[in-house]
Amino acid sequence: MTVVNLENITKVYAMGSVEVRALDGVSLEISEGDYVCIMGPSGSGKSTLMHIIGCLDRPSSGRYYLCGQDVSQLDSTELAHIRNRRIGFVFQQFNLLPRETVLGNVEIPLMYAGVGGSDRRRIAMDALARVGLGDRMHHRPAEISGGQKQRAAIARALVNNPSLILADEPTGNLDTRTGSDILAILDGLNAEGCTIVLVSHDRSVAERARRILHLRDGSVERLEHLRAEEPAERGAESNGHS
Amino acid sequence: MGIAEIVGLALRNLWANKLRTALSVLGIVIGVASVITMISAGSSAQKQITSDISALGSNMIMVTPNLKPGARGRSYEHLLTISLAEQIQAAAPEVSAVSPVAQTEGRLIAGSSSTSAMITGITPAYTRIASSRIALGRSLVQSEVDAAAHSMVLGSRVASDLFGSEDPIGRQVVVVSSGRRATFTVVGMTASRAAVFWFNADTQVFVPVTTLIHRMSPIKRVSSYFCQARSPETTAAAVAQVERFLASAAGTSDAFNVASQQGLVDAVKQVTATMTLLLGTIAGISLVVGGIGIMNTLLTSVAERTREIGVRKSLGACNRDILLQFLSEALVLSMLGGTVGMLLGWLGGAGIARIAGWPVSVDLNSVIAAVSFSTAVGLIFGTYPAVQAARMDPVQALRYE
Repeated sequence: MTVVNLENITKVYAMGSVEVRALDGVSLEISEGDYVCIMGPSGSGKSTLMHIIGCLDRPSSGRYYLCGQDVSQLDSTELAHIRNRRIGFVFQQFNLLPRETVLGNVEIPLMYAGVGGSDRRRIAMDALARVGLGDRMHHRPAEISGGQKQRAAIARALVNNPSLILADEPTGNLDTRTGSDILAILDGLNAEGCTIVLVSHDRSVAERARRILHLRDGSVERLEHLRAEEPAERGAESNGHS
Repeated sequence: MGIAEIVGLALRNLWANKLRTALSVLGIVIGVASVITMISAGSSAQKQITSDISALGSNMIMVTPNLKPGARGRSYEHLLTISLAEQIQAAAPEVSAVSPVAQTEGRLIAGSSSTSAMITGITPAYTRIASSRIALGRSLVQSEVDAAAHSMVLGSRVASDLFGSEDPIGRQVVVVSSGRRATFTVVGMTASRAAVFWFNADTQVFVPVTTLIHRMSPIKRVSSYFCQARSPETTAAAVAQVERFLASAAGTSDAFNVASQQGLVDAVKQVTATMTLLLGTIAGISLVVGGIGIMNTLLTSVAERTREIGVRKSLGACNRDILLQFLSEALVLSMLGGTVGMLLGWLGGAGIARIAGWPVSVDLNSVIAAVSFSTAVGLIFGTYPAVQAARMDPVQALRYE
């Protein structure tokens, strides 16, 4: 099943009187279970692409099908709903809310999904256990380490069983060892069937993925297949045009 | 998201900034408290004044000549006779009693003591109309009026000025007024009562109106007529009858001013209501200032929490969720302020009434008005920051440092 299908996506910003083409005709297909890294120098449009894939932003033109649904022209409320149900974000700065406990942070997507009371607590606790943070759930974000924060953020990304996990430089604020722990968690999730899109400028991080999408000046420079022989990938290729 | 969850979130966020929350609540507290204090003080004052006016007499109608001459400079002074009282009563069936009232100032001497007082000429009906109570002796009787007798009832203050604590009944008082002297015998003393406006019964002495007019010239004319309506319900009809009679007697309706006690009460109520509204409005301005305080707090909070808004949106919060989150914070602030302000306002209103010696009167309507107004203030001033927060672009908000 195709999770992400981008068709000729462009994004144009008006900077004063000048038009800036952040994305210029990007097409990409990501099937279920895939692990794609978006790489590129700063200004290549990788953040913009990530925002569009994450339904935080809308393309200026082109089509974006997420799990078969055209999401390119949805309104802000519908996009919020899609983000809630389909996408799990992992940010470079963790973006945990400081006033909430770790558990409270993980409960937020469930709260906006309308999951109440004891169910919410149980699902959030399960997600925390899954990333090995079961013993820190009542701490505030300020009381735990960077690696633990990112684990909490991954747990938060997982709670609504998203179709896609979107990780924007997830190791950017971590030391190498902690970073590789976090990448190992993402590897594990991918092995369990999670579809992952990672944004990084670090080649060693990107090589964890099955494919690397090289962006330059808003266009796809090349699509590098690292483990193209794997069956999930082939499935995606054959299903892509059906 | 349920309402309970939204309010819970608002409470937690407000609790996290206790000082800021307390300060912005304080604005509303002061606003609501001052509105309620002002309005209840006004309503207490009104109650006091109206009860004072009611004590002036029962179903009283005051007829006074207009001081300025009527049409074509004509004077109606010749109409102001003692017998006009009887004519009024005969012409107005709803009037049960009429007393002519003539007044002059004079000096009173008893032995070595002397004092000045308002000398009021009346008929026995006056005692009933003006609800005056006799503390010692008796009131004036009709035979004394008929005979223009030199009998006198003292106001309590005059009695104590002239005789101290001694019994004044049967004592002689010399009255000096406009160069004339006459000796009166004290037959009674009125009970002390509170002064209302210019009217203080305690500093008057009462003599038969005939004595004052016929024997103590130059007081030739009656100065007013006190009438009594048969019942409170017929006061308006009685006023109309008296007015009709006087207009036909004088040939114009301008000659006399006919005012019922109820009319006076209404006029005072109107004046105090206007004053209360004025004070309440000034206090209401402080409520608006409190609202601006809430808006300021929320705008700061929205700016500080830009990133949080971005994170919440990325996790699936829609604009409505964010709007309700901030709006509920505004409402919690204003309603908290409204409740505390209501309690303080109630205490303030009761305190002012107690100090002034007025009856305590906290108007329930003012409480409802102040609390609902403060809630409205929260809504109005909370909407702009909440809309700002809700409309934030998630990408921009996430980038915010």
